[in-house]
Amino acid sequence: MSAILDDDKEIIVDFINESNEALEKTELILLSLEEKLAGAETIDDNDINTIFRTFHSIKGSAGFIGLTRLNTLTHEAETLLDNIRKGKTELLKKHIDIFLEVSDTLMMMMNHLHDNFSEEGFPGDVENLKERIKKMIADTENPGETKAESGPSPKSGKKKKASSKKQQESKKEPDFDALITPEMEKQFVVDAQELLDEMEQDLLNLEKNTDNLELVESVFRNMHSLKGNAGFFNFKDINQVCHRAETFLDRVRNEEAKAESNQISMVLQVLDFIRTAVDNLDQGKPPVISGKIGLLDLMTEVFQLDCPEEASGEASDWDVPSVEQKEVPEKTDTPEVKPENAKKEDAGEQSTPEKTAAPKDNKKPRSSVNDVIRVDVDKLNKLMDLVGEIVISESMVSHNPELRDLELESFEKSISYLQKNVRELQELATAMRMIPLNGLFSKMKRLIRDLSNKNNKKIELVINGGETEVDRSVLEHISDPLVHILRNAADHGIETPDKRVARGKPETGRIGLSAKQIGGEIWIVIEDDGNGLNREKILKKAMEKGLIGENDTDMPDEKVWNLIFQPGFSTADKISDISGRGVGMDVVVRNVEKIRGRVEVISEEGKGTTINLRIPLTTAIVDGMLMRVENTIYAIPTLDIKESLQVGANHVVDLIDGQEIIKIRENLIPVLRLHELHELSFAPKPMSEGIVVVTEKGSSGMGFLVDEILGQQQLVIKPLPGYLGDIKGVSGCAVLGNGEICLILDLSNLIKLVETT
Amino acid sequence: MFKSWFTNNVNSPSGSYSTDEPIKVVRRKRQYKTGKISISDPQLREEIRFLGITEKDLGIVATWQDIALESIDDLVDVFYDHVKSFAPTLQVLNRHTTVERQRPMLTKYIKDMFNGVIDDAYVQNRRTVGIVHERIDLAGSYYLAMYEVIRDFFISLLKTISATDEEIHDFSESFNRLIQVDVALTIDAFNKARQEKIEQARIRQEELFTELKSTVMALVEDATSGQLGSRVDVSRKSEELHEVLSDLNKMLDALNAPVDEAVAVLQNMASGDLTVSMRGDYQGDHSRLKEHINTTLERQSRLIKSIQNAVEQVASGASQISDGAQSLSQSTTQQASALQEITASLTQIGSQTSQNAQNADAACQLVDSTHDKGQKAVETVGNMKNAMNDLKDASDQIGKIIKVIDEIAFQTNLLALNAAVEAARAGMHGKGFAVVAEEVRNLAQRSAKAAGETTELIQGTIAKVQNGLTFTDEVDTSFTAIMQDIDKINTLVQEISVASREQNEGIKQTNSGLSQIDKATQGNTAVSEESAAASEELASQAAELKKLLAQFKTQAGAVEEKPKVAFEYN
Amino acid sequence: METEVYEQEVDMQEGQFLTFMIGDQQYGVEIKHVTEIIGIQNITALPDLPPFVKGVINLRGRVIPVVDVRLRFDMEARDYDERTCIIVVNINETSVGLVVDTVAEVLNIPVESIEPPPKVNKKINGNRFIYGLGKVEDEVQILLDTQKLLFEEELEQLTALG
Repeated sequence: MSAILDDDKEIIVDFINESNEALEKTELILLSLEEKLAGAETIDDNDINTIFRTFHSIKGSAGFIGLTRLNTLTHEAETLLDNIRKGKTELLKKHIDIFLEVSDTLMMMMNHLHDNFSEEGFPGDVENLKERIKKMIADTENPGETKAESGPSPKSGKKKKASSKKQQESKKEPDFDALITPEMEKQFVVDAQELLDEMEQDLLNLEKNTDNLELVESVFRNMHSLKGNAGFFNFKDINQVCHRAETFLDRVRNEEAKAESNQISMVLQVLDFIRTAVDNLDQGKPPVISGKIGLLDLMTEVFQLDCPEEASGEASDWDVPSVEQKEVPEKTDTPEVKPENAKKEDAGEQSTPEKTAAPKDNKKPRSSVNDVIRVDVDKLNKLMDLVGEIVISESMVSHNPELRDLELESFEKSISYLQKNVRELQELATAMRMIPLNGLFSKMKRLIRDLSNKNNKKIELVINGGETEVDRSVLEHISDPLVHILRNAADHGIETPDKRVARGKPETGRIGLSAKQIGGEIWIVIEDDGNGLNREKILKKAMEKGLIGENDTDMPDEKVWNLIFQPGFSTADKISDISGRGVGMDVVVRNVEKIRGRVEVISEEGKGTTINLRIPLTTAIVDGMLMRVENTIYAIPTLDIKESLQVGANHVVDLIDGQEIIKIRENLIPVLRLHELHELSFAPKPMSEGIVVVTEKGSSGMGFLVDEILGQQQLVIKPLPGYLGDIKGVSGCAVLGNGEICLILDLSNLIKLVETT
Repeated sequence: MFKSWFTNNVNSPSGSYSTDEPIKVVRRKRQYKTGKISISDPQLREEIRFLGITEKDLGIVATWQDIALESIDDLVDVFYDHVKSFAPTLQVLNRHTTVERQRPMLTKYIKDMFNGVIDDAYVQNRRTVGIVHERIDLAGSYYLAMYEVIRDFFISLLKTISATDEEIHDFSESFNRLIQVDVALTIDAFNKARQEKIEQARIRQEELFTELKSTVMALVEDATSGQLGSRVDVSRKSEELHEVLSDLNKMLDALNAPVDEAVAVLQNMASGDLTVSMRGDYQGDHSRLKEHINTTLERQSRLIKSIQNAVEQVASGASQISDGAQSLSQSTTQQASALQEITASLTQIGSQTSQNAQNADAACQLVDSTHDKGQKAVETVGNMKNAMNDLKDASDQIGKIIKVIDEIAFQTNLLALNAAVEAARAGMHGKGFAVVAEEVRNLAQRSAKAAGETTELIQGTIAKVQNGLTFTDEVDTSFTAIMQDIDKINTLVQEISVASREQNEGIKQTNSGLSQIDKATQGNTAVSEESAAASEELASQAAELKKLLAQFKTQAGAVEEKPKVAFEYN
Repeated sequence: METEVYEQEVDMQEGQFLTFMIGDQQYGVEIKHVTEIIGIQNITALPDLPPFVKGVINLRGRVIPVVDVRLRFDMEARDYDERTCIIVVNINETSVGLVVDTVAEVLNIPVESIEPPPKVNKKINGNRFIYGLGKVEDEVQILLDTQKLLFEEELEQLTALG
């Protein structure tokens, strides 16, 4: 192990982290086994299997990284365990002793590895231990067979074969199905998706720079990991396809062949097939690849694999026990009882180290060993909920009416300390849910690539600010809108190269995708230098659809552009398979509004279009201004409030249709009376008796007449119970400190009420 | 308008002509019918012929019979309009009949004129009309005018049907003659009827005169022979004479009345009754007679009365003196004994008064001690009130606690129910738990029940305490009132004590005054007995005189000298 | 239909009902829908709702809608007192509070004691929500179809919208 690349270091660190975790558990299991043995209790096969998997997975990873000593040691331990779990050898105290010794040695090796990034110079007597295990294996009934297969191979190419055979062997094990829990499958899906994403990015980069062997190496590693994982679960199709691709990649990285662009496309295509299979699995269907045979043939052809014997030989290896194997995937799929067990995570830990053996995030090198743990999203969500509850209960305590008139000096201090901590806790919890946009943005590269190929356009996607973090829920909600917007940009926005040249633009179109944090919002900006929106075309279409009247043609650009977000609106002259069916852009607005964001469009015909998604940082907690109307308490996000003022009668302009308008500093602002909208009171009240809260929504703002302003408070937004249906202009509610419930106003909906009247 | 249409319709059977265009139809002259005069009485027949009417005239008139009959109703209307337009005729009409009743008679009358025949019936009919007119006193001049109305009507009718001038002329002449016959007959009948009436009246007057003469003669005969009481029996005489004869009777009555009365009055006077007098309302000589008799009576009565009065006064004076003397003597005796009684009483009062004073002092002390006790009672009541209030507060407090217990029981019940729900949801595993939950629920319900019962009890207690408080308040008020009363009594008793002593002193002084009065009384007694004897003698003589005078009855108003009343005391 | 479903479920909750009072009549809902029972609490009224939906309550941080069963039955409203209870039921992942005069008990009514609702008498309040009449000793419990109680008619549409 000479030159150790940074990437390799990362891999090693990941490997160490995961291995240590697994080993710690192994130790505990061994100790419990020892106890059971002493008490002559039944030994749970699962325990043996867990240990087996740990060693197996360390073996695999070690072999891959090239850690020979680790590899061979775990191999011997694994062999012994295999005998035991197959009943060839009875589990004895001495076995546990030696396994513990192996475990200790492995941990020590990990420490050594962490410091040196190499197993060279490890002081422990690994060889001795190995020999002792071998001896024990020899003592067992049938040592020969194990030995015959135990040729450890530092070369990954061959190791593959060994490990797959090993897995094949384990498949035949009747108990094996029982080992696979739904959690493990879930984990597989997550890992597979990550691996696929990474491979895709690398391949896209590789297309531009076909000589970059590092990229090939990365794709190869990921492909290999995926293959291994699939093999473990006996997902035959995925395994086979991965294997074929891996063979090709192996040749490329060994510079035995050079990756042609059609071949890279082929690999990308393969990834799509695998992705489909993984998605199937995620939905509880078998992860089969339809048309696999054809695909395999095609791969052989495209990849110009000159060793079909090897490939087919392997394939036949897989295919021979077909009777058995055919059943296996079905069995694996049968457990559709996921939700019931979803919360129990006991079995998950073992699978974790095995699969995370594959590097995950190679963009952010981790410097220390123990600072990252994987947390279930459900748990995070619960944490967030709980933090919300804490915010509420803190406010219940600090605003408790019974304390109001008391002089409680030290209590006040304690409370403000509590408040500070709660605030920090809340920020931290929010931060924990924050995910960089990188992943999402990267996916878009592939999208643009495919679209440009399909449309024969040249498009460059320029990504900026991918490191910006957003809340998980935000990420989920903007994924679809982004796809829709980018599709539109590539499909309708960017012109064909000829046209671009004719217009005096560079041949290659440019789509910018950037993110940045501005105040309490994240702005995600998608800009293209294409056609821009055609005002006349939009107006014509809108009139055809009856969205606007004949007299509306002089509406400002801003409003015209917003028409494209109306359901069923499409200006595309012909319907392509990508866009133009008129579905899509309305999804953008709907999704973005779900997370209380908004969409802005700027466009200039012939020059391009810019779409800005403005999304609040977090969706769960908002700083709200509480106001009272009759007996109902409403809240408006503080950020949306421009000012609150008392309006004299002389500032009120009554429009003919009854909409009241006030005039503030030359601005005409429509005022909405919640009294009337929600029928809280029927006695009209002069505007001067209430307070008008002016918000920023709408062209010149919108005012609300309220009876009283109660103050500002952190509100944990809850949706209104679905049972109640939609309530005009209310987006959700929040529980206040005194247990009362306030309604959070949906400004973007309310502004529509005002503007349409 | 209607009228003109109607007439048009009459003269043009087709009815299609307009009023504006007079018809110019040349038509044939009518063929006149031939009339007939057949009167059985030859004298009458001559008379009629004398009036100038011929059978030809009757024929001419009859020729227009159809036309006349067609518009006869119209004519009748015109006729009565005319009658009504003149006050005297209208008056006659209204007095005796109505248009409706008359209409058929008039119609028949006119129809007859166009029959072209004058026979006995015709004549009789006209005569009847004359007799009726006499009965209702309708002057002939008035109905002459009415004939003119009829004639005018028919002439204008003929004009409208474009009869030729000649035809009109003929008709007018003949109809006039017919009218004259009618008039002659009617007036003749009228006159005859009237003459008959006058003759009857004259015969009746003669009969009445004879009767009156005989009656008066009989009466005169009686009077001459002194039978002034004889009168005419009016009912047996003719009705026309009733008035005269009644008046005659009245005159005789008036002459006789004063004589009778004077006789009766004088008879009474003879028997000593001076109270009578003549009361009748008489004139002239009779009046003077009444005046003299009454004056005589009055003077006599007054004289007797004066004597009676004087005697009366003497008698009563005597008796009064006698009575006075006697009562004086009596009262003097009484006075003496009364004085003795008074003296005795006073002595008794004196001793009682001093007893009073002593009692009052004792009462005073008693009241004082009552006052003290009362004061204590008030304090006790105050304490009781406080205790009651404390009890009430405690009850309220218990009530609150019970409410809390009840609330807890309710919450426990809810919890137990929730537990039961959970247990049910847990299925088999929850069975044991369900039993426990049920137990808890039972307990909770029992506590709730107990709490409810306790609440009732406590509320009862609170109510009772409240009652007690009210009572206590009342007692307190009463005690305060009693205390005030006691204070008042105290004052009063003290006043009594003082008054008793003063009284005692007064009684002693009174006693000495009384003994002086006693001495004087003894002297008086002797004198009064002497005067009593003298006065008794006087009284008996006066009584004798009175007896004599009582034989006369006198008039009430005769006494004027002195009011009797002054002597009625006895 | 309904009974079929119930028969299929071999369940200990089968035949268990939570009963409550509206006026003098006792009603029952199936235990399996009941989450918990709480005393009456402050109800935040919401605009724009049918009258029997009284608003929402804050149930330990959860915001759940509240339906007044009396009003749901078109019966006369009654002031809430300390005996008024809210039965929290959960159907189709939807929690709804039912305001009742008071809760009575948990009853076991075997299927054979449950008769289908009478067809004739349309006047019984809330007839359309009845799933059966349960006889326990001498008393008749009106057993309600919680599903219908919550989701019938317009609310179905509302839910579909939400």
